Amino acid sequence: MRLQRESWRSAQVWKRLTGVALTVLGAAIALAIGLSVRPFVAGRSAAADTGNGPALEVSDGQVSMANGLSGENLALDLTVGGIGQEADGVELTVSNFRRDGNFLLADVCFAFPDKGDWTIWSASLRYEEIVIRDYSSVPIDVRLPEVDGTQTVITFANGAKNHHSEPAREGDMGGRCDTLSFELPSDYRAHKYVMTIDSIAAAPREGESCNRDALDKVQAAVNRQSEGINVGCVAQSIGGGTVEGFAVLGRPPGMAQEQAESIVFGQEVFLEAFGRQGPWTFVVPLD
Amino acid sequence: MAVIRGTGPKLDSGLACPTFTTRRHDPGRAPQRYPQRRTQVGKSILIPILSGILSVKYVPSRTMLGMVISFGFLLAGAWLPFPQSPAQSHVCYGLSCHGYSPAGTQCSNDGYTGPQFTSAGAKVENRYSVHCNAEWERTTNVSGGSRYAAGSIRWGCANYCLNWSVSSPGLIANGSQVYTLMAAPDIYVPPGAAGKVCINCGKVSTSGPISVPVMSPCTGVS
Repeated sequence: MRLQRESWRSAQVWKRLTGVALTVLGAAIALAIGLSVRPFVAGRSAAADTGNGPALEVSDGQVSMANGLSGENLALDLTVGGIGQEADGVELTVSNFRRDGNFLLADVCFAFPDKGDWTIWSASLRYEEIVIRDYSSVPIDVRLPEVDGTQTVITFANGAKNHHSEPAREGDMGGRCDTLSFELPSDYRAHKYVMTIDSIAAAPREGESCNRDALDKVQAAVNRQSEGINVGCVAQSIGGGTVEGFAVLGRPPGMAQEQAESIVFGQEVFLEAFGRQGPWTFVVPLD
Repeated sequence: MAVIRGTGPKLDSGLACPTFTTRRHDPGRAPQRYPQRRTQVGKSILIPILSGILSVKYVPSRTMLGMVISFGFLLAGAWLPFPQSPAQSHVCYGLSCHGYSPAGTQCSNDGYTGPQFTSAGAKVENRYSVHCNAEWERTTNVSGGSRYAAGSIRWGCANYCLNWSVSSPGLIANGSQVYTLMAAPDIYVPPGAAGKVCINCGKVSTSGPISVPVMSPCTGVS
């Protein structure tokens, strides 16, 4: 009788231990499944999701820049006040065109087409036969996209940056105004200048190059140029910062790596994926 | 210090790296804080485990409970913030952002470009986050070809002797970028100090790696 009781008790203990073990095993399997589906349901992670790209080293690519000046399509003469011009669905407004010593300045404003991080991507100044492609800009104000009926507005003046919230209509994507500046030779005085905003763009923010959204945009733009090129990304922390960008993971048979890279890293693909192509051209007569 | 050649940043003195006299017109809105991730995850895992252990003993239907516990773990894996290394995930504001990457802190989510210049194939930007009250430098290779790239955000002393800098160890493709860790405005100068507080410098080159900190060209140079 005692033996029966003891064997029954040990059987019960075994049953419970087995039950606990099975529960833990089941939980572990469920956790593993949850982690594996995480990328598809958890949304964008703050940490960069490094793709299976190649090493950081990127070989040379022959790329042609599509930054031609459309001097023949001069739309408007700008003298005083603001004047707007539209291209690719975006209106740019230029005002306060002036010369200050060796610098030619103008205030340029535009509304963001979407909630991306939009800036002037490429600009140039032409006078006589000279073209200047280097420029600088300083913000006048930046309005971030509307969230819950308000938007953050950052203003810049006298070395200070101030931000506050303002009511905004639903769907307001924000915008910005900047003072553009071109340096001229000190001894030169032209009578007419042509300023061109070649493009604006919303480059991927830090950590976004490996996001599905950015990769899809680039892949779609690449596919329109050439089929069979597979796009990936690179994000590598090094020392005091990070290196980040896109990469060629695969190409069709018979296509050289350099040719594939010239497509993926070309200005055309970048602007199609992330930008709006101008030109927005303004002719300014100045003494 | 060298003025940017061929680019001519026409910047008002002190404007390029503004002193952060941020005045919030909605003082009631405190900086957003997130719950401690370890506590959150710990609770989410420990509670089901404890419940499971207790219920094995006391609850009649172990099969049903096992299913519930497993489902809880599945949810935990899919949705709960998983503990990550400090370098990858850190929510911050101001000084607590200093030395962290904007990408791993959600600060880049509302990042926007302040003063910038394009020179010799490099687009150099001062980047700032209102949400985090922190800034960093970003250099993008816009040369059309592969280049070495480097960038620095510099502050302190009379000659901006402190910095976060990044330099690509190899060539990076056109359109690729390097960006520094974040710097907090509060750390730039002692209280009461005047003048510019930080500058952003960057360049690309066919030879490299580029030595850092980058001394020129820079924004905010008088």
